Amino acid sequence: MNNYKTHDYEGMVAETVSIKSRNGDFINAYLSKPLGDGPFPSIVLAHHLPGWDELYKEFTRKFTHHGYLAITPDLYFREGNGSPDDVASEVRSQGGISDKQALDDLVGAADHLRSLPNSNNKVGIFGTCSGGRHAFLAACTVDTFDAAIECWGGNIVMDETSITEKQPISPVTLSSSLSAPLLGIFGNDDVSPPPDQVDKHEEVLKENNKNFDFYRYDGAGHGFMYYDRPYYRQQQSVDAWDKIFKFTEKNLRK
Amino acid sequence: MCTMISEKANIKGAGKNSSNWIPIDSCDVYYDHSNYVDCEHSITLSFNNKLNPIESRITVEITPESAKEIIEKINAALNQANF
Repeated sequence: MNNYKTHDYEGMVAETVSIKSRNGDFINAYLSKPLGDGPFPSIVLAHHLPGWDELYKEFTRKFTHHGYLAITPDLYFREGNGSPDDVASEVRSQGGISDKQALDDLVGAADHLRSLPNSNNKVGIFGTCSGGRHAFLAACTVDTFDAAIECWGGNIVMDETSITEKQPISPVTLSSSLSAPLLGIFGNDDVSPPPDQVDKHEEVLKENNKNFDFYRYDGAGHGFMYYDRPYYRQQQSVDAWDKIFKFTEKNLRK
Repeated sequence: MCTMISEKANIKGAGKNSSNWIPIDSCDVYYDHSNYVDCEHSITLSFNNKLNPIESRITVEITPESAKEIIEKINAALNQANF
């Protein structure tokens, strides 16, 4: 928690739960809740392409440590059961999941958070990699979210050859419909998304007079906040988490 | 976001996991951000059996340079065998 002092009592409950997707399916999700009456702000996490893995469950608890109800739906729930790496490999071999399916599950997760008795009714969305793309897409497609954090979302700017049945719309074309304040976190050494695509993303948001802040880090590439990967960048990561929590406090706490 | 560069090879063979040999009929080949190898992008070979495509997976992740080296060595071995 932001104002946490060492003598304060602290606790959380974190567990796997079953939630209802917007399309009526029941899927698994990882839910963590601070102990106490609240009311607490909430955050939905859209996991990255490598799946519903330990890192994302840690991210979920990290938000709760800072005083948020947090939930990460298993966006690959329908694709099979196994170790996260192996499920993700299978999903990847099928060309990923559809945008519609992901949005149904993320909206269902937000609905679940708002139904909790200690929710303050404000819900943000956070995502990295494909989850960053899903976070932006969600914030442009539904008015469910009160804030969006997009970390190195690729394929926001898609050319015609990238359009598929599962990803039928280039998200940048939906920028005029962005319905929440947006925080963008990017590494300047990333090649997916490359800096020129982030430039375009930023330019279109400016043209549409949207409320957004982009932070673009030198000396960092894709996934620089993943402490379990070789491309982890400590200083940039610490700074980015600080930016993220300042953003969520401003937009979700009050 | 990850590159999503992915190819599938239909193959005939077998692979050994931590305890058993299992029949393999598919290999997914990815070029994407690495999970463990210290490089930005790697080649992943994910061998599997289509009847059980998740739990059967036997996966290795190598640098792109290593992938080229292996391709060369496989071709060299096949040439020596006049295959």
